[in-house]
Amino acid sequence: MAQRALAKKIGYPILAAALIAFFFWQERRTDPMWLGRDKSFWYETLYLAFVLGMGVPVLIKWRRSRYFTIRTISCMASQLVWGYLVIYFILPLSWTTVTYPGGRSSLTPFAQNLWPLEIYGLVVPRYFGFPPVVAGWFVYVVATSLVLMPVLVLRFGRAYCSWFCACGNLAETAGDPFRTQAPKGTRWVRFEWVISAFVLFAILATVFLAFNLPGQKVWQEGWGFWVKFIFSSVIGLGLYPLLGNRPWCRYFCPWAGLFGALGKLGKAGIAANNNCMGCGLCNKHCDMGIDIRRNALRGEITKTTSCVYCGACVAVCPRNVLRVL
Amino acid sequence: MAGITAADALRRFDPRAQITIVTHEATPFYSRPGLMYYMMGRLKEWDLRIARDGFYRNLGIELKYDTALRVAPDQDLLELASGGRLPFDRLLIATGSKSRRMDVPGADLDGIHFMYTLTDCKGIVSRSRRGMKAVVVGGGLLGAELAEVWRDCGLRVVQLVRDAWYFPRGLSEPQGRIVEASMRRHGVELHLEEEVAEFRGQGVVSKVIAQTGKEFDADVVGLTIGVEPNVDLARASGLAIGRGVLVDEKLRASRPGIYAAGDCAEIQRPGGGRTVIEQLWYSADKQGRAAARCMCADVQPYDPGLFHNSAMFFDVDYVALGAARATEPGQAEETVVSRDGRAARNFVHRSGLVVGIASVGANDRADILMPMVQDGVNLEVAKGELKGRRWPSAR
Repeated sequence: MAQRALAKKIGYPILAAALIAFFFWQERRTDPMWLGRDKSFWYETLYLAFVLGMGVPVLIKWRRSRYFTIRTISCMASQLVWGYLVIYFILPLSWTTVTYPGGRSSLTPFAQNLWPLEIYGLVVPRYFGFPPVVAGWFVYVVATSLVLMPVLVLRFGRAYCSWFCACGNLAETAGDPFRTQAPKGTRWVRFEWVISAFVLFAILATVFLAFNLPGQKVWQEGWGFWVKFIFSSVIGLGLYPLLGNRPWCRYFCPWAGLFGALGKLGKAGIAANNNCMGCGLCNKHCDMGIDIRRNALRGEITKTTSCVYCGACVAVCPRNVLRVL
Repeated sequence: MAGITAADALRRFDPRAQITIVTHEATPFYSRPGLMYYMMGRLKEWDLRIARDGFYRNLGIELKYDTALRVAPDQDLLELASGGRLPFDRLLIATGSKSRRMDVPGADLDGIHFMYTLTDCKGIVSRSRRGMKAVVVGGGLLGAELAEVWRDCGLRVVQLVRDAWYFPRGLSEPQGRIVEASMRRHGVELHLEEEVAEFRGQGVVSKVIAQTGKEFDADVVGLTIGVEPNVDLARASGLAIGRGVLVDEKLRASRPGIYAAGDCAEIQRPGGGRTVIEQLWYSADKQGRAAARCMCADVQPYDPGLFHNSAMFFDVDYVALGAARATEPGQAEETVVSRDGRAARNFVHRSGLVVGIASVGANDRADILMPMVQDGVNLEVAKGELKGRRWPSAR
């Protein structure tokens, strides 16, 4: 217990500081290479190390829950395979050095991320035409961000968020000790509207970039500094101990803001039988601050835009009430 | 629980009613089942609250922190401890239960705790220190919770149980043995068929003497020998009381305009027969809703429905639907123990038709057992249907 507390108090701030510093340095550095590798390689290496390293205690802590175990392994595996091996070792042929108007240069694939998590995915052809590599990535981004993933959300809700999204991978491993810190209560739930501001920001930035409108550089830099650095890194990561492990996913993630609500249409939800006694452990462990107990007490299904189906509420329930649908 | 549920339901039945809740508990409507986790430090006080963020304001309910003393004998006025008087058209008494006290020498010594309200639990937490010797008196659901809390906090726990096996009211003997094994595995020193004769100590309890003469050292003692209806208000108001506040099947007390629901109500069935007191979280919810309906002059009587309870004994789960034990004439029971001996289902039947299932360690879900008991399926069919389900399974 004491070791855990120590790890939480000292280990985590070091981790977060290192990762944030690395991220800042990477965004600022104009030379895309460092030590013979793409600069992002080093950041992703550190990121992966944290996901894998902090994933082990999570596996031990939640070993009683099968869902949790499988999901955590999925987080670690997806980060290792898709976020690392595929990008840096299996597909290095698809790399091209690109420099966007505005000076941001990159050696990585144009967009391993969904649009609008990464605004560049949709605009690459605008600047680089349609050589096969660019076209391949463009098709990939459009297919995943606008077709494949929304379909997944339609059936499984935002489960991707806790199963294989890169931000989620870190939140569910390194952030796990902080899941009880998520702000609770209707006031914080109401505050979730800010996510639409980020959607708007992303769309505007993409439009400016796509049509090369005057001032697009400002949008690009604003996106890079404010959204990617301040909100996803500094607040999203650095403030785990204050805001729980998912402030980014809950309040800022533009992709979730755009498509997360689709989950409400499908059958995804947290079902409850009528064993609930209202102890409140589920609410306590919900990293998205959802009031599950309210519905569980009435035996109703909890259907929300924000639920990421991490399964914590199901695992902590002492009476076996809840079930992921 | 019954009170809040009733207020919530009343608001839905009658949007214009003026609803006031009188309570003396400073934390409004918290989850009693969550208290256990509060004591373990896994929940904070705020997490226990079910009514929060303007719950009462949104429902248009006025909350009065006060104690209701009695109903004025000649008019519909509720007299409060602060001296105030509250006129009413309808009054719902939902005073719940209070811990059953023990009538033995030394029962009022310091260090002897009940476990019912948040205040009780705060007392227990402030008293308990790692390494202390704790004695739990009583072998029921609450006793198991308290033992678990104290084990979790690193105390040495001795538990004195009156009966021949754990919780015979809800468990058959093989099931009781499974529960006992689990509790012992978790470090609880169980003593069966032991009753307390005396508490000894100089101001603070230091020894528990059993009727068999055995002595147990104790730094702190928890009394969990059950709860009884809290009828103080009803008694002071001159209402008819038995063990609880006597009400008819529409939850009306002996005076017009006054109703009772929840733990404190003793329901008389039409045509005599045994009265019903339901002292459960689930039933309080149901009764509260029913009371609200009756208070709005609906004529539908309260239907207790199927008895339903669930609990945890450390890592062994417990679900009961309908009759948990065969208590009425004509009923028989049969316990099926799993092959590894860690789970058991007790089927209570009346000439072969199931009237109740209590399951221990099998991770059974109430929603699966419920239709079987409701429909009264054949015993063998029920056994067969449940047989294929996984026995003790991890979640």
